[in-house]
Amino acid sequence: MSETDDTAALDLSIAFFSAVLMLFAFVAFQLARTPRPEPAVSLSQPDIARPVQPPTWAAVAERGSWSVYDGTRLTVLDMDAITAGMRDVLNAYDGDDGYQTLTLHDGADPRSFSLRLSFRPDALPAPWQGEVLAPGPDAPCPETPRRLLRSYVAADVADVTPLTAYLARCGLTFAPLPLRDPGESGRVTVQIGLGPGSYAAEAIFR
Amino acid sequence: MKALAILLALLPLTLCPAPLMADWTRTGLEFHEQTPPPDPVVDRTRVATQQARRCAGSSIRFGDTAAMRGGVQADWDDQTRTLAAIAAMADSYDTASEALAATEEDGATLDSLSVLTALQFGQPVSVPTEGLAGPMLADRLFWQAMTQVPSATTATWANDILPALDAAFQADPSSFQVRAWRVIAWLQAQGFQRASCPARIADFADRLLDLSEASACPLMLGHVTHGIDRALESRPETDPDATRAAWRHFGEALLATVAGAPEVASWRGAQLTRSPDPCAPLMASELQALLRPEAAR
Repeated sequence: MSETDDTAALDLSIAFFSAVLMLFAFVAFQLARTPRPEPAVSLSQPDIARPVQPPTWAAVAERGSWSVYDGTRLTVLDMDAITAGMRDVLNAYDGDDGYQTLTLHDGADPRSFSLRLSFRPDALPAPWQGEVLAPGPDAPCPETPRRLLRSYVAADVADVTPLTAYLARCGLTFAPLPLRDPGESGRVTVQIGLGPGSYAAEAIFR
Repeated sequence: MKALAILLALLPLTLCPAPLMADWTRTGLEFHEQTPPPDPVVDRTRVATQQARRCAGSSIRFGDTAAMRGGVQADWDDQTRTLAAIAAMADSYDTASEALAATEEDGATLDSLSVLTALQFGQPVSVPTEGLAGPMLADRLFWQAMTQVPSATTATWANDILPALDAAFQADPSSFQVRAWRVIAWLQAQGFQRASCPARIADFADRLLDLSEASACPLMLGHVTHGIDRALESRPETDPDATRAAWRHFGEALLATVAGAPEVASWRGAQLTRSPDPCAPLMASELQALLRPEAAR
């Protein structure tokens, strides 16, 4: 056996053992698991985008009012103020505590739009506040003529039973829409829209 | 002589009697009669097609208006579209109707939107259909039917609502809401009291297969049966009308067959055997044939 053959065999064995060592290193890294983050406690999935007329089991969708619940107060939104802002941008409220933007979507359907509302759940802009109610056993009922009340519920509200009991007493249908945690600005943004995607297959009568 | 003539005349009858219709097979020296299976009442081809296609998409659309289903094209300016968005967001009928009235556009699409908005707010409204065709007409006929639903009797369902929905289906076969309500209206109109058993079963099965044509997914058909339960305000088990309950059992079994849940279909089919309805045996045998096609052959 020549000398060159010896060195080649030596190189090969060193290469092999270092490969095995590297493998051990990777296996060792793989074993050091990072703990899974604990899932955040919430009522349900946060609300991202909401069809303006969500599916009910009726043939023709029912119109409702919109409201925000922060744990103690139920604020029925003044939709006339918000629609005035949709009609003319100069009338739209714009401040640190909230703003609104309307986007008309291009597409086959002329009705497609989305309305973004950004607000602090515990301190809504004054023009948007319609009725402000304190749900409780003796509280007066909302004066909204609509039977369906879609309510955005702040992320830190753990219990909505006082609200459901109150609305049931008043003969209103409760549709809770959990909000996400507010960002650094303290605001949370919701999107209400209408588009072909609003009619998912399970909205069966549409 | 006369007796001979009668005998001769009867001879063909005695030699080849009624079993001419049947097939005969021979086992050894014995001949066995095999009566041919009855003509299929439920369309086997459609069932097989839907079973194969299952959750794949179809040309049927779920939008609430012709425009949302892509059935008509409307080219609105931004002002009109903004006003339509305001009408959609408003929570009072006055705001919504004022916004729609303020538009400068004119046309059937906007008229349809005004009608639909009024219906969503529960306002009384007349639904004109003159001069319309296709998807627009289908929408109007559907809404006309829906305005009659709250005060409908069985006669109204049979004489007004069901024909209107059938006409809407003819005008626009791509509308899902029309297909769904054709099934409900048939049950409400007691379509199961008319015609012969095979004709009734074929009619009902056609309506159900029209409905499941949109998507034969188990989840989708679960929503469909739940929607029918909500519209009829009972489950099949708690339906006060025993005959209608039998037809609903058959309907759920047929939808389960299409969705690929034979165990649900057999369970529903088994409930048919206790039904007093005269068509129940034929419904059960049709289900058996659909569930075990090789045994029925």
